[in-house]
Amino acid sequence: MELKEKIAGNEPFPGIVHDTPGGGIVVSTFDSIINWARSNSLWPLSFATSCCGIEMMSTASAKYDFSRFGFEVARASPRQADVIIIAGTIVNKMAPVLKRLYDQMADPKYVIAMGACAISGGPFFYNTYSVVKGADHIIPVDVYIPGCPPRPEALLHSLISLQEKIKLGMTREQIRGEFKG
Amino acid sequence: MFSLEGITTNVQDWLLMKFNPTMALAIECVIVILLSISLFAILGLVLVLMERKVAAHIQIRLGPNRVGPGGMFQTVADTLKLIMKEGLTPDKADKFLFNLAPFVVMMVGMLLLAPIAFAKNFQIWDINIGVLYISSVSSLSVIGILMAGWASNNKYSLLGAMRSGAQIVSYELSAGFAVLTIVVLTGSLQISEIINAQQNGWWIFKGHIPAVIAFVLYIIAVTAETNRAPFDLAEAESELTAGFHTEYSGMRFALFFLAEYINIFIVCAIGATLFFGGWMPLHIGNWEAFNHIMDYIPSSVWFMGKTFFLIFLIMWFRWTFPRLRVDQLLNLEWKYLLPIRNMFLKEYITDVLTGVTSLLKGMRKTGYYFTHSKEIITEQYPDNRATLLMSDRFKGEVVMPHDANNEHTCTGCTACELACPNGTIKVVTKFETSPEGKKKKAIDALVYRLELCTMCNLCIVACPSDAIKMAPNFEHSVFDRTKLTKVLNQPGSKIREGIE
Amino acid sequence: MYNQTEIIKDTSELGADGELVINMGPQHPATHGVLHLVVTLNGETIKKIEPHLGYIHRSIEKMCESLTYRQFIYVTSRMDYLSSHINNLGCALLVEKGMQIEVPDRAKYVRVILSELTRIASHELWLGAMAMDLGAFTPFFYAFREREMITDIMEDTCGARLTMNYIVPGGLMYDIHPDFQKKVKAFITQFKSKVTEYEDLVTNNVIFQSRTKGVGILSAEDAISYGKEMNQSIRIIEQLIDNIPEGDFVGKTKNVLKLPKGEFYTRVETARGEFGVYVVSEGGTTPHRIKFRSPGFSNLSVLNHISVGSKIGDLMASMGTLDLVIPDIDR
Ligand code: SF4
Ligand code: SF4
Repeated sequence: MELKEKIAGNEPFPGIVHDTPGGGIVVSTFDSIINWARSNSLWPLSFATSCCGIEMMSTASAKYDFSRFGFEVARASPRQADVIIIAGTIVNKMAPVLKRLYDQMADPKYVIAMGACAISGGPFFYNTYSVVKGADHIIPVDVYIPGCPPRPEALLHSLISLQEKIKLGMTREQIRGEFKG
Repeated sequence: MFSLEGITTNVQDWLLMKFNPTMALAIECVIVILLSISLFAILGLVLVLMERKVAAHIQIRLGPNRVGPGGMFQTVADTLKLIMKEGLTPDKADKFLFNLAPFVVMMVGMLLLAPIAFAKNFQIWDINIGVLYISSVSSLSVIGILMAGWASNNKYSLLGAMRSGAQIVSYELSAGFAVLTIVVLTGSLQISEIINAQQNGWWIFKGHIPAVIAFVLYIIAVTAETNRAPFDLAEAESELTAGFHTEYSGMRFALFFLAEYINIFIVCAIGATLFFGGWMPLHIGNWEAFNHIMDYIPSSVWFMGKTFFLIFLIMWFRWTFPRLRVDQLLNLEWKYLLPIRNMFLKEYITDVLTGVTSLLKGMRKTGYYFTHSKEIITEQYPDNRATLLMSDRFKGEVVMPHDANNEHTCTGCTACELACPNGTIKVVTKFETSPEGKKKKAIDALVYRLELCTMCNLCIVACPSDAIKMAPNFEHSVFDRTKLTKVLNQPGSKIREGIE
Repeated sequence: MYNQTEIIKDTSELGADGELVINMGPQHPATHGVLHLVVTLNGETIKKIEPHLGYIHRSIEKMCESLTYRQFIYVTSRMDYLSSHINNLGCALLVEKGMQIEVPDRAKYVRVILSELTRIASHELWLGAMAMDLGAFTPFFYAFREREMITDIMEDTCGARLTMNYIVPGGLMYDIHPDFQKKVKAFITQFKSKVTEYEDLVTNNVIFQSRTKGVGILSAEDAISYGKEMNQSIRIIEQLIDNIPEGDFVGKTKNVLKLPKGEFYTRVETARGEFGVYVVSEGGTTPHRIKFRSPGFSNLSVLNHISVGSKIGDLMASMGTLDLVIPDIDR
């Protein structure tokens, strides 16, 4: 997890302040500003298939309140959403729909697999004929958060992880490589 | 005392001194355009943030507070992101109209800025038919919305646009009536004269009942005209996903988003001008000293204060009321706001009174929560990690406790594997030879696939030697799925003496 | 530049006579999940509704045939996840009935209390979601404040917030938390003081009333009966909470549960209707065939009947009152 520590958590704005007489200048790269903006403005698609969706609602509720991070602008239209939280089981009939939703989203887009079902089929791993054994067979997934369902704090944790990932500006393969090393 | 009054004259004098009059006019135009565009951007950022904060406090939560001090940069981040986001155009859409629509909506907002008096003598264009100009231009925005709905080639968009058309056209009427009340009271259509007429008292105070009724009418009508809840049928999220802008993304969506807030600002600014005297300070009859103090507050502050008060009112509506149905929306307009239906006066009054009381009750509740910040129950998760109160029974993950000597109590009996309904746990056993030469079964690895686990506790109950238990850990999120397969026994660990 | 015929052809493909056919779902905010409704519209007026199911069909019934009588209970938490305790209870009752297992009184009391709490939590969610369907966002947050208190109680005692798996054949998985009674009482006090709030914001609101009145044939009465049910649940809990008897929390059961050969049926009342479990046993450790009678499926079938002729907005209202849980329908 050193990688996560490297990108020091919650800087208000990316960049270094150079002190000059009578004030300071913030020096930053365009990339890091864009990544900062993207990571702090993740609008989820209101998409839930089953039980995990209820915990997603709980995360939106007053006690956990994901609006603190700016996530509360849940869009019903995939065109305007940035992150799709797969909350619940994906079955064979739903799989093409999920793919289509993902395709309808505008780039850049991110995916969080919430709960055992979305990661691997979870409770419905054995002896079912209709469940997709992991949403990453259909669309690429950025962050996995296990649990059945994961509690709201866990979902928040996965969103923070996603923010860190975006701030890092690396591809999936690069991140995988870094973690191995 | 700070005031904007002098600035315009100074700038004009300076320009006329330097350039010839035509040139000066051109430069002034450029300045005004730049100013209004930046005003747009700033207003958009401020109003969206305000809306989110107001909503949060009404809904007993904190709202954006992590991006920048107090969440100040939240909307900046949103805007930057939207600008950088891909702008999709659907395949079968009418490309030209599709791309034009957001700009039409935006342009209408821009045009409406012209006659608004932001402060004393600070007005882009004091046209002599100011009020007429406003009513005619504001009804143009429906064209943009219809364009967007039609060109998207999406049925939800079309429905949303149609609703919006019916709504804006009919509510124009009552807004017009409300505005006309003030025109009649003043005797002029010019904005500056309307403001000057309120020198010794705002119309809402000295206009008696007609002005009050007109104000209520106006607020209801403009809420509808700006497509705000409870009249947000054009976007009706739970019915039409996102209404007329369903297909828009990126920058063009941002323009719609911004235009909504600009329109709110404009209608509230006009409301403040007509009913609350625009930049005119609060004057009470012949209280000379009091009036004098009031004059010390800059006129721009008065104007903004009143406008933002009205904006807050409209936001308060939004976060209190459910949405009307499309036929009820039109009923409200044609039967109640414009009572041209053949209806008994008594019936009319009781209907209105009961309706308004029930609405006010709701507003009192939400208003209570807005003003009582101690009712907020938000826990700030990543910051409160150290003090987070969680039940120790919480089933977050299966763990195998090891003692100080790196010993566990798992015998490798596979009871947990048999109990597990979905094969989360796999026991890999090996045979160890004890010093006495006896062969003994022991675990090689207890493989646990957290990605599958349903936290059903059956394995824990089944375990005869209490080797495994549930731990309340929940921060498991990873970027790589393979990280979720764990081996529960620690490397080099062995079974505790005396466990069979 | 602008090909009019193309657009018109595209929109009229599915309907005739100026009808507009829209697909609501599988991803649509009002369908509470992945229900797919093919709605035929004439302007804003609904002419026909055709629900398409199966977008969350997880083959639970088939799966249960390969799970033992201890294991199959946990899957039922995932069907109607808002009444997970009650579903679990139904299954446990079936096994207990089939095998004549004695359940200690303590377990019985706790089961009832937890079931009623689940019912309240489910209705709280219904209230919030219903208001949200009608366009009011705030009641959702107030309702969830109370719901969070229940989930807290659940977490303390059962270790989970939504899908508990706390009820086992013969009793409970473990004993209640020492704070259980205290917390439940605190919840009851809080709930009672907040009921007026819901009334002010939702049930007495003139817009809410006019949107639900006369919609379908169920809606208005339904809304009231939900309120009545919550109060009833509170009454039941109040009567039981102080009298939970001491003693065992789980009865004596064999290690391996085997239902005798035959057919068994039990039913319980979940938050949205009657939930039935029907098991055909061949005498083995797993059911030979299992069938769940889920309330949501029957409720959904009235949708077309009550919505024809009303507006799109009404459809949201009647769908809200039906309180559909899609995995419960599809199973
Ligand atoms: S992971 Fe568990 S809680 Fe989430 S959808 Fe699947 S069964 Fe439901
Ligand atoms: S908690 Fe349940 S699913 Fe998880 S390992 Fe134990 S028995 Fe298997």
